[in-house]
Amino acid sequence: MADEREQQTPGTSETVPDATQLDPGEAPSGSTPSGELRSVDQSPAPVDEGSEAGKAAVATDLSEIGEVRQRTTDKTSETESRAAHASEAARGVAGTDMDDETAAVAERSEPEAAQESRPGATPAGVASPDNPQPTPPAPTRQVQADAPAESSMAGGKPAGAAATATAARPAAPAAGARPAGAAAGAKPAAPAKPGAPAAAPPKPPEPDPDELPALEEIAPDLTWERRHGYVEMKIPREKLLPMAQRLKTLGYDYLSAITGVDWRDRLEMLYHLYSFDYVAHPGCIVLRVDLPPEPNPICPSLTPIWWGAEFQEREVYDLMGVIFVGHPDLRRILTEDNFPGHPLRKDWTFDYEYVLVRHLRHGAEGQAGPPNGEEGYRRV
Amino acid sequence: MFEGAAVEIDEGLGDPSEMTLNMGPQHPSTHGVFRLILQLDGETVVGVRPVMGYLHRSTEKLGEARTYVMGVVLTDRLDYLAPMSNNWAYALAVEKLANLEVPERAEYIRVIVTELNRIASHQVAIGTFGADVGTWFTPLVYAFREREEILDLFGLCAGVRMNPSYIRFGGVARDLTPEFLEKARRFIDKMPGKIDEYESLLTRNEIFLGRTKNIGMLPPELAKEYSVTGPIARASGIGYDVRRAEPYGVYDRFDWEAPIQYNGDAYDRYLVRIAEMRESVKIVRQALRDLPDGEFRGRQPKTLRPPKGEAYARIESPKGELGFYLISDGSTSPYRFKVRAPSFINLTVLSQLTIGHKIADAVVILGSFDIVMGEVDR
Repeated sequence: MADEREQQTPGTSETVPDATQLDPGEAPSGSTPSGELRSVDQSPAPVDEGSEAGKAAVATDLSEIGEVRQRTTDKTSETESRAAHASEAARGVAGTDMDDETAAVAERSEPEAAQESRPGATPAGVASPDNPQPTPPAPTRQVQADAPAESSMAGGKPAGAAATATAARPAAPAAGARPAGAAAGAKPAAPAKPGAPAAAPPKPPEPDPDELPALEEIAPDLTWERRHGYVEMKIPREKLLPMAQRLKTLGYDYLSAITGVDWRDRLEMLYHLYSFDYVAHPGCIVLRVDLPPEPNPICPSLTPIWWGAEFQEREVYDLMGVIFVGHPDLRRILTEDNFPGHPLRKDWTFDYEYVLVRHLRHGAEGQAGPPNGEEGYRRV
Repeated sequence: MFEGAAVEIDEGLGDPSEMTLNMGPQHPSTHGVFRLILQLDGETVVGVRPVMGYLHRSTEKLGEARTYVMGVVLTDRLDYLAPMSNNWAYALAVEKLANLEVPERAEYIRVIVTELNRIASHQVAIGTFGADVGTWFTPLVYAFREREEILDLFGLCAGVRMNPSYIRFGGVARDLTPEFLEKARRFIDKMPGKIDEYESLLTRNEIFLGRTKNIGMLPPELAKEYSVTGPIARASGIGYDVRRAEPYGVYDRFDWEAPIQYNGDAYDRYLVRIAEMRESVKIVRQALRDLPDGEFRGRQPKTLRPPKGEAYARIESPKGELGFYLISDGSTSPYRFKVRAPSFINLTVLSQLTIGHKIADAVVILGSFDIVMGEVDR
């Protein structure tokens, strides 16, 4: 599975360097080198990841992120040196890789050329920024080389997969032999593409989601990846409502599932969006929103856009404790009204022990009567 | 009808001319422990508040505490009228997660048992729906007569009639025996005639028509707003079927239709279910005809430890889109075990449909939804 995870940082050419600055800014707050991993905020952190990284990842608005960056400028020198080292290494790999690419471009076949024409038609903001900025993805690879355990969620094992992704064209899981050249050919001037290592199986390019330009108007520094064929987008929580509204108007009008995940250092909301017109939009877009690891983090409710979110959000509130602002009727739905805590949280503990009914009725040794006045169970 | 998502009910303190009535949780027409708090003006429903959770068994939490294989047993108990669908959806998610291969014969077996299960589930839906609208129990008994045979078939292939845990990761639990194949062929041959019998009892029945026509009209826009799936959505003119939208298994090899109706009332939901049973018969017949030889279970590790990652898999269960979202942290049990239960999400629109109808129609609308509380409450 890991080899299917690709990522991309589309955006205007100004936003990309900004993103590269952001990453080291977030990194030092985490105790792991994966902080500079661009995909740290897209990929769910491993369970054992430092909680600080999560806090940085859930910095919700730009001002907060700016603060984080300011706070950590003294530490950026270290990460910068690491990043520089990484980019050097990447260039070294890319040097050897270029030959393969050019060879592949040379023997490109016609259908691939046709495929290539399509990405060319996408706006410049999608395809171009990676050419002048070959370095940002480079640290990713370096981190993976340094700490494969940390980056395993981001395609660490066959490191080539993530490296292919740094070519900014997300690749399909099914690998063909040559089409990697087509990906390179889509960017004719790619001088120092931090390409895949020679050992990596080249993959055919996957076109960008058509909706990307419209979505980038809302979230310029949108990052996305393809996982099992689904496009997953990491967005800050204040962008959730406009993004969902835009996606609905773009045709993704079927809100299938709302999922809450407790990653221990953060909470995450996932929204699976499909289209009822599955011929025009056969894919799925997954919106991922990070929430701070509070007992009751706040998340905007999608009920103004899809009324069908009502029960699902009530369920997430019930089991995860997420407060949905704008929800018309946020009450517990599956557990009883006075249930203690939110049971799907990882820190929730089952602090009751069962008491036999006959103990309640007749009393038992050491257990006389209904303890604590509660029926059927008592607090330990 | 379109005013909003929430229904505020002032329990017993509102307009003195209105009455609050508790329907359920112990009520024959709620199809399980489901409670409706109805605000009534005379006999007209002016407010509905569904209350659920009486059957909550913390399936998602249990799924996180148990290994992947143990999770199969949990899925049986979600929609206990269609356990094969649940097994399959869960197996699909795990197979995505762990990159397991499924042999071709197993794919065909899965289609056979799942479509048989769809017939059985719709038989319960139609039979109890008939009971809800006042046919008493004749259609129910007719439907259960054939359902017994399907359950016996499950007993042959899985060893048990209900909660079979038959579809496992990378295949199925046991191979189909010649006895099963012969009985299944015989059953499939006679099933269209039996569906005609159900129809002769209900489809042109004057009382049935009067009770279900134009009751609980669900316009397609409203169905989309509320993420309604399954036969309910297809009765409203939304031709959305996961078997078509995102084909899984070998459904793309069979010749079948996704039945669709356009009126969106309780009667159309019944018609869609009848037509789906006929389509399921067609699919099972083709699958039995084309069933290839070979392995029924792929190679698997003894202890399943999927690599770190996430997978969302969905199938078209008899109730709608059933999805499983699994996160693996590399251990033997899932880090997150999420069920997208179609009955639960379809219920969201219930209040909107019921308001304005008579209280007896509320029963019909709920019956036409075909909910299973095991899935709603999880």
